[in-house]
Amino acid sequence: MYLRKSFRWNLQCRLLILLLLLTIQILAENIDPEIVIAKVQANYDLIEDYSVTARVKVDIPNLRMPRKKIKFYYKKPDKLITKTNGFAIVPKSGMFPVPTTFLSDSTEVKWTREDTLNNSKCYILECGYSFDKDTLSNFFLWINTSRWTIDKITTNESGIKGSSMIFSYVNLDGFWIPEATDLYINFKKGLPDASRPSIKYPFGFMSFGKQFEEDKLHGEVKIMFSDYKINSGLKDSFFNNQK
Amino acid sequence: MNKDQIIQTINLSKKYKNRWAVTDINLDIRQGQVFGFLGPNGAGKSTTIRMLLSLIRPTRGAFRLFGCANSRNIYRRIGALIEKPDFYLYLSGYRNLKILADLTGGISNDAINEALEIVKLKGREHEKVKNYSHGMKQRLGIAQALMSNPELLILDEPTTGLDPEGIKEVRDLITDMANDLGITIFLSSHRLYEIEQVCTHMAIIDHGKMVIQGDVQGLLRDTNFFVTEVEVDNPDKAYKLLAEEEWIKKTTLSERILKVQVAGNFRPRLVDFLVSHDLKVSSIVPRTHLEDFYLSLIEQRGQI
Amino acid sequence: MISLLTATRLELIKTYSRYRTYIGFVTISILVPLIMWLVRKYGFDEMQGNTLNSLENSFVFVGSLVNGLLISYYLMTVLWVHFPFFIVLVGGDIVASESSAGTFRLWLSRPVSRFTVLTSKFLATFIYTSSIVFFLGLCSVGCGILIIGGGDLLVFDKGILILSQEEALLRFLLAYSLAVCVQMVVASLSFLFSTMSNNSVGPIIGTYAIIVVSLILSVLRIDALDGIRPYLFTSYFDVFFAPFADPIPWEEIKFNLSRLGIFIAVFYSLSLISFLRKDICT
Repeated sequence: MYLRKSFRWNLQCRLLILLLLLTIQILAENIDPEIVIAKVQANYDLIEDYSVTARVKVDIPNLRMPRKKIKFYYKKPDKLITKTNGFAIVPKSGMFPVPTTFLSDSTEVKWTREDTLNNSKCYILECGYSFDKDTLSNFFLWINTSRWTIDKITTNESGIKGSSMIFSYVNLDGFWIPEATDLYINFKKGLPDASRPSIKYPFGFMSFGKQFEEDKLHGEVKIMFSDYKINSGLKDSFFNNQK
Repeated sequence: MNKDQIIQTINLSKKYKNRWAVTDINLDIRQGQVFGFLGPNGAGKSTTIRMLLSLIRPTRGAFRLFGCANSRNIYRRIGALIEKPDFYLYLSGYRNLKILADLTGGISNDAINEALEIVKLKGREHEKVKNYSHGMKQRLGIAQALMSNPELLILDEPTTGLDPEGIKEVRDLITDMANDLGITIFLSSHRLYEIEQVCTHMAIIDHGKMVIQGDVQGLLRDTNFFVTEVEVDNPDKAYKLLAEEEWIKKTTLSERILKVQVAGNFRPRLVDFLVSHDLKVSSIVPRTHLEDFYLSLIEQRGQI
Repeated sequence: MISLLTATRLELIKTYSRYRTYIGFVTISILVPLIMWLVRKYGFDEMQGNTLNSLENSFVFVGSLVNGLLISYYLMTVLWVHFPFFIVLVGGDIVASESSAGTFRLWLSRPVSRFTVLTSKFLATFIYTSSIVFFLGLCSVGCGILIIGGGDLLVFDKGILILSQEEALLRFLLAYSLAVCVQMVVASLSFLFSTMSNNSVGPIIGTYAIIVVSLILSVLRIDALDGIRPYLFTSYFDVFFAPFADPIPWEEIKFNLSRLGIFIAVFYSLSLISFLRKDICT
């Protein structure tokens, strides 16, 4: 009898401890995403302006273009100039993984889980985002907890396969800034098959209405950054004149 | 062949479709001769010249220039003016000559200027040819033939379109070139007087065939062709009387002057005949015109 | 005998002394800058939008693909139907005008052969053709860059191909060199007709008629025409767009060039036969 009582007590204690531990664990892991975002943002708050050269390599089916060099000039809060010789394409968002550049006030952010990326612990935040009225999408930010940088972004868009961006960083003057960005992107519809002008088609031929093959709906863009100049004191007049 | 043989044709013949334009022409032109080439329109003069200049190919026969056959280089030694000279109207006279000079080779600018001087186009040479008169174009044509200091000059109707003064100048020029420079000249002309004045030798062709060839004076002498111009008090009566006489080849009456074609040794008989028929003879002049000779020959061929 | 080089030089003097030689140059000098100015003023932006609209969701376009090179590229389509007019204007006239003017009599009584005369005229036609084709190229690319601006060139080749300006300029050079060959076919055809005629109107109209009919036959996708298409010179006319492919299809270029070369050789040979038999005295 004593033994049975003792055993029951022991079990209750164990369950209580387990419950306690679980509660502590849950309380401990439920990270406030805003704090995480703020920590990432803090990385860049001291950057007033910067200029950088980006080398872009595009590998998208039915699109061949030379590697392009693009010069970016940025100044807080929203002054940005891009210069390139000729024509280039750059990702619409996430070119520089500064949270404020792609998280608006209406974006919902929530902590989801923790994972490992390149042997670094990452918090994964889910962000609700709408491209337009009809397309609701969400994306996930992989935040490196050791340096508080966004190391990866993955997107889910209705109707197409997800896309992802992977960033690698370098520390310059105490700032963690992107050294390279790899973008793996999927399209709803690809670029048209087109042929050069000929006697038959004097202005070239394009098959816009064509159903694209699966392997032609995926592309890659690689960007390498160099020649950073941070807080060099870019003047407003520089941006105004360039316009 | 003789070293001084400049043009030699051997049975030179040309057939256009079914018509023989020239048949078996045998020319022999020697150095220093001024050779007149006579014949009515369509006789084959231009066809012969075109063959000599290789503008058309003979159907039969051959020709030699300076003893050479089939060599285009020989044309460097020849100056030619073919009928109406056609130039590039949009270029100046000088530019036209310059192009032809370069095409010939070895002709200096001085030679061009000298030729322009000779044909009296100096001062107008930089005007476009389209502004030239017909006579000026003709003179430019002569200039282009002269500028290469040719050893042989082939002139096809060179005085066409020239005014009387120009005709005389060209005629004098031809004489000077032949006499002073020793250039051999092959001259085709309708102007019988011109041939008579400047040519030492001549050939007459008709219907593509050679009629006669030789030196001008010799031909007139040897063919026993004489015309005697007679003035009498009653030319109509004399004309009727002479026309009936068999020993007289032909009599024509023009502007009260009788032209009697009779051998030289018959002239005293002619005077006796007129006097015996109560006609008063005021003058009797022996004349031998090439024109009369030529017309007589052509007429004879027509009768044949 | 006079050298071919001298005769060609003299031909060029004559050719470039005529007003009609400059009609093409003047037209190009007026029309090309005007087109470039109109594009600069009124734009051509839908071109870029239509082509790359499927990327607009994900990418930002930096710079513009609508530039002088793009307009120059599309201007090259005039080389098929419109531009040959400037070629036949000279090619169709170069022999016929001398036949009608009677100037051959003067030329051919000089120490120069008919072969040299005709070949020098053919070479002069070739030089004229090259000069006006390259003038179009220089004018269109030069004015394009000066008036609209340079940049990368967007072309279609197995999708969309964007060439850097430096690369595009080299390819324009190659393209216009090939265009010379294409236009030489036109020139040699008009040259052939020119040797057969005593006025230049016939060769111009005749050549144009043949170009238009051949183009129609080349374009029509009728099975019955498959057999004759290889024998139409217009079937090889689009070779000057080949350099704007990546990689450059050298085999295709070589094949088309050899065919165009055969047409040029045939037309020239026929011209020579015709001219050697021609009565230049009438």
